[in-house]
Amino acid sequence: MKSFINYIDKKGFSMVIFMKVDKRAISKVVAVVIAVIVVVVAVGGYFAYTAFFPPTPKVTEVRIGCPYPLSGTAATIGLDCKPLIEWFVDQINKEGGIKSLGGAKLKVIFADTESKPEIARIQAAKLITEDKCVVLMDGTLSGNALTQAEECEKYGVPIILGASSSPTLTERGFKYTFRHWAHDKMLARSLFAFLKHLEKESGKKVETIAIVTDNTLFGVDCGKAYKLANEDPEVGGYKIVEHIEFPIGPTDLTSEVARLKVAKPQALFLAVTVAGDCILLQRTFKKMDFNFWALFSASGHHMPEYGDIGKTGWYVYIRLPYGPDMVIKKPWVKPIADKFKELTGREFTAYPAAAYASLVLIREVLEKCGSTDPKKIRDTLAEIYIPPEKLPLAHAGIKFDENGQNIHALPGIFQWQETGLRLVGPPDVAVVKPIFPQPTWAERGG
Amino acid sequence: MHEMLTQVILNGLFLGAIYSLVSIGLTLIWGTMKIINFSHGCLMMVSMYISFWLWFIIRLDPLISIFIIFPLMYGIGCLFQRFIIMPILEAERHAQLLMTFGLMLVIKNTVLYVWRADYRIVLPLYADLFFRTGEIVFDAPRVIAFTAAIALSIGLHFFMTKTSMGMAIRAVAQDSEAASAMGINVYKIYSITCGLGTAFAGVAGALISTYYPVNPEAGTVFMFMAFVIMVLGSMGNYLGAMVAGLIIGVTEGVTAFLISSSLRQAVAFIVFILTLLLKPEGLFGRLLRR
Repeated sequence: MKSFINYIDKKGFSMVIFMKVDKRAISKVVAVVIAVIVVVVAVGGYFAYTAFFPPTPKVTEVRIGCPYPLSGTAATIGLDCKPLIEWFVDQINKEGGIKSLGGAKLKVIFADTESKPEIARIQAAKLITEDKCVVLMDGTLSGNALTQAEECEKYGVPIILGASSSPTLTERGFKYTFRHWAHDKMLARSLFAFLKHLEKESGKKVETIAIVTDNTLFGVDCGKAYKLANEDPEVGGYKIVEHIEFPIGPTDLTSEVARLKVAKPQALFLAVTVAGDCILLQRTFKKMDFNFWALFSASGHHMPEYGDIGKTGWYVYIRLPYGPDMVIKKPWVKPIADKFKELTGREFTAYPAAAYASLVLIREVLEKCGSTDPKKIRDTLAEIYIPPEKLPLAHAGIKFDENGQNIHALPGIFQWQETGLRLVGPPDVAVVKPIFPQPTWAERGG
Repeated sequence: MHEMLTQVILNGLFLGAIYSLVSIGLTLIWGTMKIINFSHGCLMMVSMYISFWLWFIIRLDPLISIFIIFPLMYGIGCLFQRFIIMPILEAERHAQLLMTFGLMLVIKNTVLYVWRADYRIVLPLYADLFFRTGEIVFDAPRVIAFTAAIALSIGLHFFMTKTSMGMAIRAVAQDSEAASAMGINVYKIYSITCGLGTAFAGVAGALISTYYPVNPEAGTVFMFMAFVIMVLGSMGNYLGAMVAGLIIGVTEGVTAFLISSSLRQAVAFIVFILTLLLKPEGLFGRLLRR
């Protein structure tokens, strides 16, 4: 060994490799030691290299999990979104997939939440752990989104929420929850501000209001948001004469409307999740001859089937990220709305529009980060900006704050009129004038 | 305020009559076969869809479509008894429950697949026909549904007490073995009872469709209360089911008006629990004392 070291000292290490080694220069033991060192260096070097520079396998597919309500009370929403999502993903793939990932194709995997939060939790976990989805998207029921977001946070997989509007969703300090739609506090304020605008325009002062919601997380949170907005001296200050929370899917609402009739509010603020309950409520208003000046809704009233009740359903205001008049503001949306009608036979509504926007966001994020690592996708989501012209929504773009809430989310305010669901506010984007106060049931006739 | 309370009570009676109609079908089947049919509400929902499509396609009024729905659902009920109930008649209770529960899921999901979850509206000519007395209003669809439900219940009572078939059903309900020994074809009675029970659910569905949005979940909503009413009115007692339906309907309505809408079902269940604690056999059953 000593002679070997001396030899290296004299001739340099490279000579060990290239020279013909004689028995006096290197013994068998030394040869074994050299071999062991070479092997250790080679193996260690390989592991060190792969640790610092992990091999990037070729990505052929990016899996997107869609835990949507495909059955249960909110199935209409999920069944509306599903065909559009599948079609748009197909379009993206036909256009070459995700370029920054070598043309990797998107694959959406749906899981039925049955409109139930606990099933939504299970399905979200399944999509992450079994189906290996790297990003999830939802945006229907806030209650479902709540449990899904918890699973995503646990596994470190980002979830993008479309039309779920409960403020709680982005107030829990979660790092993997991103919502591009406005939350109820923002939305409630916008409705109250619009009522102030209506008062100013018509010269009629509203003194009393009532809040009516269902008992879902969405409904309850909206009720709180309405109360909070009313405390804002700039847009609120009305006397709340009644606050009703009814169980979702009631068999009858006569008692609730009787309470309202006794309280005599001039304006109503509603948060009713499903169109069926909105229809039942509106028909009960008519039956009971309950008159008021304006009804502002947070959901449900925009669904196409609500239009089936004709003039009984007119004059309701609803804040939405999308409405039919959006095609006037953004003509490129019309082919998508037409495609949706071709796929489902129904009118394009806010829910599928929000799902479309979620996919636009996912595509942009994947292109930018060029990775399927959920952590990198999350980091890219946190810093990305999507301009409004890429979205079929009323938003002024997408840019998330530190809580994952889109700071550019803006609602359009629509009103059911004889010509359909029309964009009436905010005033600077209105397509038609709002009708305020709404006619009484006797004035409407029929 | 008093007028509104009167309105709420009247409306509770209207709603209760419909609950009764759904529950009577359920209690008939339990009374004779001792089977809890979880799919009963779904069969009611299917009849709502039949009523809707008959109205939508040929503008057939739901009140007229009852004459199609009743025999149709009767037939479905007989088939249900022959192919679903019969094979499990002697099975363990949990197997029976699982079978009807499974059938409920199959029906609901099939409807969801075929007709989606969209809410569908039936608007007969009298949909917006109202009769007003001061602040109290009667809407034609509910009044008609109430009248039809009461008439059907009375008709059923006469059928059960005045006809030989009705008496045979009651005999089987009381003691199927003794009835069989007396020459009554028990399986035929089972079939007729199941048919009648399903037909009642069908009529309830057609009547409800005149004012309630048709959707795959509609059956579940009414079924939930129908179970409570069946137990409250004493299982197997169709007259008890009728009265219990009215009690629950009014309790729900008055609670929502005077206390809180959130408690409408809770209070109905408190009434249900208290009744069972004080009278375990239900309001109209014989005391189960050892």
